[in-house]
Amino acid sequence: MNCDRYQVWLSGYHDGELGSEETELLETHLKTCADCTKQVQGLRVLSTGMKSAKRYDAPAAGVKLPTRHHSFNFLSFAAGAVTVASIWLPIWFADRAGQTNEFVQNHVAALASGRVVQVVSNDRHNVKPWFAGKVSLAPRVLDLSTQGFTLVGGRVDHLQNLDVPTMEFKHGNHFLSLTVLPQSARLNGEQRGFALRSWQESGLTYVAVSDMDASEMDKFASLYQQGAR
Amino acid sequence: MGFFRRKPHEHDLFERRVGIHADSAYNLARWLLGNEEDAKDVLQDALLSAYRSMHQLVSDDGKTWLLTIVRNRCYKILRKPPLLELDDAEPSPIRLEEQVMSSLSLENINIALEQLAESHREILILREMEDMPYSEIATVLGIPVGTVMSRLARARAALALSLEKEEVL
Repeated sequence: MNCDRYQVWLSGYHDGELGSEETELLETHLKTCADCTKQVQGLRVLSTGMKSAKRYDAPAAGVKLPTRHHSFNFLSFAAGAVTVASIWLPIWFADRAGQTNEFVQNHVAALASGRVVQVVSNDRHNVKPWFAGKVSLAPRVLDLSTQGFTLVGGRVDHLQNLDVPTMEFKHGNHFLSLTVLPQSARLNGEQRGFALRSWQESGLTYVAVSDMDASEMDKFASLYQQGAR
Repeated sequence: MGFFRRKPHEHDLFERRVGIHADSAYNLARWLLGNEEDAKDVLQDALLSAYRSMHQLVSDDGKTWLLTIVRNRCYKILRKPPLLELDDAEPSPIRLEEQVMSSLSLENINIALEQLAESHREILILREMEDMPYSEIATVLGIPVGTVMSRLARARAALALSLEKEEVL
């Protein structure tokens, strides 16, 4: 029997991550296939084996969480002042800025200024080259107008001392800002009535902000990611 | 001094959400990089970077967040991207008998794991050691959930093959 098509499913089945339909199909197949049944056992043996592989714990000394600053001693403060200042001051500013999310701030500021975009175009082949030379990364620009999210244009946002590209989309009466960052970030959830969604694509982080419903945001995020393939 | 007084609360929050996953993060880095020094540096670096951008952590996913940062830094040190073409190969059937496994020492398992390609090693660590669901693995690796399943199947086949070779030796 040709069991190739079940090969990947067996792994998902073993992890309890297979969809119900696939599970049903696979279980029917397993009833009549000794070979695949044997593989289910093999997967179990392998997992058990992996459990005894070496697990390295972080060394207690040497790695410091940036959290130990409870006691305040003048001497140690003076001694570490130079290094501490270079580390703590940026953190402090980042914290303060973080009280209201910078992505939300930029989105609101752009809407309030009446100038949502600096380049107006629904043609992705105009928006992408416009970013070149203004920002140091090349985002993937998609127009999802056939799916209800129309590309309006692009602008350069300033975020954590970086100039980053932001694409603007319109969905009904709602605007959506899609900002692209060079570093990894995770922003998912709600802030002050705005929804945030983030995902990674070829080393860049895409962050979407809008006042749309959560379900619409999810739809946008998944459409955009599907466009990547 | 205002910010010094404000810190303890933030420290606690950071420790609860992110700091508690330091062991998992170190384990991943140690397995990817193969030495203690680099793994320590990566963890230290990642914790600081995570702390700086903690305001971006909205939901309760400190573990996937920290592991994502750690993994990205590991590949920077390795100076190569993970081998993605491995995803194209058909996974071979896994034929591991219980006896094979019991005849192997722990040392064999560690060696077999070390010999795997990084993209296979890391996904096995996330799944088998960290018990992470596919959705979280997908986030850390930046791939679709469907790819997690197929890559895991290939990684397991590769590990089984590597173990069989160990047994022959």
